[in-house]
Amino acid sequence: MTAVISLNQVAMVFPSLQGLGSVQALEDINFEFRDNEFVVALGASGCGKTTLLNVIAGFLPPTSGDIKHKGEPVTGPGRDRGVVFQKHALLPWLNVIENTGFGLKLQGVAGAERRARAMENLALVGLSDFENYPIYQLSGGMQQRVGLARALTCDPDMLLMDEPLGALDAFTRENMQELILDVWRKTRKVVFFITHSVEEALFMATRLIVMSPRPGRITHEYELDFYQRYFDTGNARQVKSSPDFITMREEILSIIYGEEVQEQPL
Amino acid sequence: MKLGIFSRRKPEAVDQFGVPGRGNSTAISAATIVLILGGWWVATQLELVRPLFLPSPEMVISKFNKIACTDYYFEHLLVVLGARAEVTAKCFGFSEHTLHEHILWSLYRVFGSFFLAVVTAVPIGVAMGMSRYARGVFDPPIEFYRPIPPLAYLPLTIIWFGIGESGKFFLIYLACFAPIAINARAGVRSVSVEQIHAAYSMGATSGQVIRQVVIKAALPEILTGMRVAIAFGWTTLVAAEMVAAKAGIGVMVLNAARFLATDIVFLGIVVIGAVAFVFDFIMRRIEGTLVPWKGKV
Repeated sequence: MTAVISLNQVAMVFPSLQGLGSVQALEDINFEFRDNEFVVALGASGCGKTTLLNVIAGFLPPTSGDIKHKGEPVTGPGRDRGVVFQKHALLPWLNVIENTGFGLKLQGVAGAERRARAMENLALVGLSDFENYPIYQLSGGMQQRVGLARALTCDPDMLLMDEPLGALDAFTRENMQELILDVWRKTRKVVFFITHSVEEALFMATRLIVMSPRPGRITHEYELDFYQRYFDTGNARQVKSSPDFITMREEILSIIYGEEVQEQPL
Repeated sequence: MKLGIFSRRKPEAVDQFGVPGRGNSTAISAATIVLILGGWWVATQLELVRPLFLPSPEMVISKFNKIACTDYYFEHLLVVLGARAEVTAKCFGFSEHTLHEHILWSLYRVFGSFFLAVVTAVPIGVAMGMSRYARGVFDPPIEFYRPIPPLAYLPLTIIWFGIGESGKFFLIYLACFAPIAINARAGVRSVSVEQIHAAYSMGATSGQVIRQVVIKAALPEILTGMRVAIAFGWTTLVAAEMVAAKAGIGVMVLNAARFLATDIVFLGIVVIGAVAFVFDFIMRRIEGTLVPWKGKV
């Protein structure tokens, strides 16, 4: 398998804000995103997940180390890496389909083709009937689906998702997990997905990385296949309540909580 | 709309307990207006105040007819329609101009300056929001002159520009410029960094980000700035027209005051108020169509 994105000894240091010393947000990250992978990063707040995503997206230049996209160094944001944000970041002066086709408009693609490709991706996220709605009339889950369709319309190699389901209610969240997996199955983009939820991480990942704070680093890595069981059975609840899923969940939780206990100043 | 939850607007909230300022105030506003006008009429009718200080509504209306040459134009219309042979009514106006000439001159000055202020202040305000260099250059002069009353630098504009139109334009332009630039700059801050990041990660150039994301996001604030600016423009108009203007609502009021023609002063005030109100009403309508997302995101 070829690496779509490779990180080599990436480190990120933020200067101190209140004279408390600088913060090592990322330390010695070596990682490869390979074709067809759905990589989920999990960890407590402040473990550098979002920093890692911003570095890959090109929004933050790393303090040291290098990032390569198919062998070419990454120097800034680009069309090859689509981003879905925690808050949808859609443009409220455009309606659903205009938002979805915005990337193509930036590239100067003609109206008709823009529309056709935007409609394709809206259909993929199940929003075909909402093309002319203003985005502020959509629910939070629908807005995130537009955000996903918008990123897909630029046809990137990789999708970076920064806690895209963090602001949604529990029911919508579970539906969205299935929807994103279904979209991933159809498009086979490389995905880097950040979450706080252990269950979500286990359910969706082909590869799970657990990160730990101070300094931010990858401490554990797992290859998982719960997503495959969902594809086979179509029953997410059954996957999530199976004994090995629960065992795995407790193992990950004990890693994360264990670290927090160690970090107590007492 | 197909689904209830997507209907354009939520039904008017029920009179819920504790919501600040709940309920509709239109009827009360109407009552207030009636009360003020009625009080004015009664006070003059009972001759509580001398007409020099408070002219009656009838006097103001008849002055309006006289200065606006209502009879003259009405007879003109009848002649055109063939219902009358010739125009016998005379047209006097005030200060050698009819009311609509005064109004047009003032509109020309206010909106001309306002237009110039919009086309310069919006780019400069956006630049101030986007770049520390632009902010560093423009912030000190704007913040310095902004609180100075236009009357204080009126003499300077006469020295610089003489008594022609350019000095008047400059004065009103300065009054309009600061609120638009400051609001445009503040508007830039209402764009979220995620929106900008999203655009860049879809391959946008920095020019596209400014034109298609930043300026659009700043539009609600820019429109607010324009509303504030036009109010400042009207405020400054009278000062600008104090200097050797022949026609204009400000001139009309100032000349009337010189002759103690209080009814014309009243008329001028009402006209300025009415024009400003109409413009603000139009601007709010434009806001509704141009930035329907305002306050909803």
